[in-house]
Amino acid sequence: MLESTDNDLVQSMFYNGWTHDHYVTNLLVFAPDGTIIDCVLNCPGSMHDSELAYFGGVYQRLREQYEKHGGKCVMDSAFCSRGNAFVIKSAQDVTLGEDAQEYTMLRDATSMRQAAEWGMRALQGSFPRLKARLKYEEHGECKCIIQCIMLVYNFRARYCGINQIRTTFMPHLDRDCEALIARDLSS
Amino acid sequence: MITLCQKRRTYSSNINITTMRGALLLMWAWKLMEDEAKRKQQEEEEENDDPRFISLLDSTGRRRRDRRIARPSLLLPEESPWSMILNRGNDACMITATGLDNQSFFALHRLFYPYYKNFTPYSNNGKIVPLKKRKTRSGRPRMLSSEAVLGLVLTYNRTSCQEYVLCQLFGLTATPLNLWLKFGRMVLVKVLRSNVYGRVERDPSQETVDSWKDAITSMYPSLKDV
Repeated sequence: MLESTDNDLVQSMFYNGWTHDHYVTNLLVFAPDGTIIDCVLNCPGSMHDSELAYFGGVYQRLREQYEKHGGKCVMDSAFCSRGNAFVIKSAQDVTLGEDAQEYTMLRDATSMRQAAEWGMRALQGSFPRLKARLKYEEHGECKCIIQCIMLVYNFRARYCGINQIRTTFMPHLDRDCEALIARDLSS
Repeated sequence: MITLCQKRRTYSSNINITTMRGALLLMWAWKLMEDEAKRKQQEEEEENDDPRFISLLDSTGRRRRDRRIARPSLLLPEESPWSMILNRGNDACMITATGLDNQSFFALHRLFYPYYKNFTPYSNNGKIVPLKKRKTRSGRPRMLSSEAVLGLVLTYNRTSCQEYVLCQLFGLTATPLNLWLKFGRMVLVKVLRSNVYGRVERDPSQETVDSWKDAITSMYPSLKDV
C-alpha cells in the first residue's frame, strides 16, 4: 500500500477502485516447488492483472517456456487464454464444461489455482512489511524492498523448506533439503 | 588658467562619483534591511498560519514528542535482544524473528559477509563504496556485526513495526539503523539475485519442468503438461 501524494495524476495512477486505496501491484508466478519463477514488480495499482502480464512480458516468457518445454500455467479468470495455448484458466462455474473431460479439467484447474492463494498467503504472512504503507518515491527504495522480499522468499522456500505449496506438491524436496543442509554443514 | 579649470573639473567629477557610490551603498543597505524585515514578517505570518499542531509547541514540547530513542536509553548492539536470539541458537525463535532457521541464516551470512567486510555505507555521496585498503589498522571498529546487519534486514521484512521498535531490538539509534538497513538490503538483493537458491528462475531446465509436471499430474491427473 502507498501513502497518497499531493500530485493528483500520480494519485489516480496508483488508486485501485476495487479496494478504494492506493496500491503498488505485483504479479507473481509460482512453481509447484513453492518458488517464484516469474514476477513483475512495483507497477501502478490501477493496472489490470492481464494488462500487467502483457506489458510486463509474462505472457511472452510463458509462451517461450511452453514452446521450449511444453509446460502450461494455471491462471485465474482475469487472465486472457484466447490465443494463449499455455494458459489454463480456472472457472468460477465448473459446470460450464462441455463434456466430462472438460468438466474434470476445469474442476482440477480451479482446485489447483488455490496454490496461488497459498503462495500469496506465504508471502504476505511471512513478510508483513508488504502490507505496511510505503512512501511514494520516484527513484526510491520501494522496488528494492519488494525485490528483496521476493528473493528472500525464494531462498526460504529452497533452502529452509518452509512453504505450503512445496509441502503439498513436492514433499520429497523437504527430505532433499535436509540432506543438502547436512552436506553444507559437513563441508 | 586652462590647467586650473581642468583640475577643478576633475576634482568636481571625483566628488560626484564618490557621492554616487555612497548613495548606491546606502540604497543597497536599505534594500537589504527591507528584504530582511519582509522575510521575518513572512516567517511570522507562516508560523501563525501553520495549521500543524507542532507550530503551537515550544522546544520542550517538541523534544518530548520527538518519537526517537536516544543512545543513553538504548542497550549496546552486543547486549541487545537480537544478540540473545542469535546466540541462543533456537531454530523456532530464529524463524519467528527472521523467517530463516539457523542453518539457512548462516548459509546466507556466508554470502553476505564479504560485502560487509569490504564495503561501507559511509561515503560523501551516500552510495555504497569499497573500503580503503590501509596498511595499518585505523578508525573506530564497527559496533554492528555482520550478523546483526543481516538480521536487521530480515527482521525489517518480517515485521511491519515502527522504526523505534527496531532501534530497541538492535540497540541502535535511528540514523545508523536506517543507514545499515539500506546497505544490508542492497547487498542482500545483489547476493541473492545471482544465487542459485534465491534467484527468480525464469528459464528452468527441462528436468525441472518435468519434475513440476509430474508433481501436478500425480495430484491432478486431468491436468497434463501443467
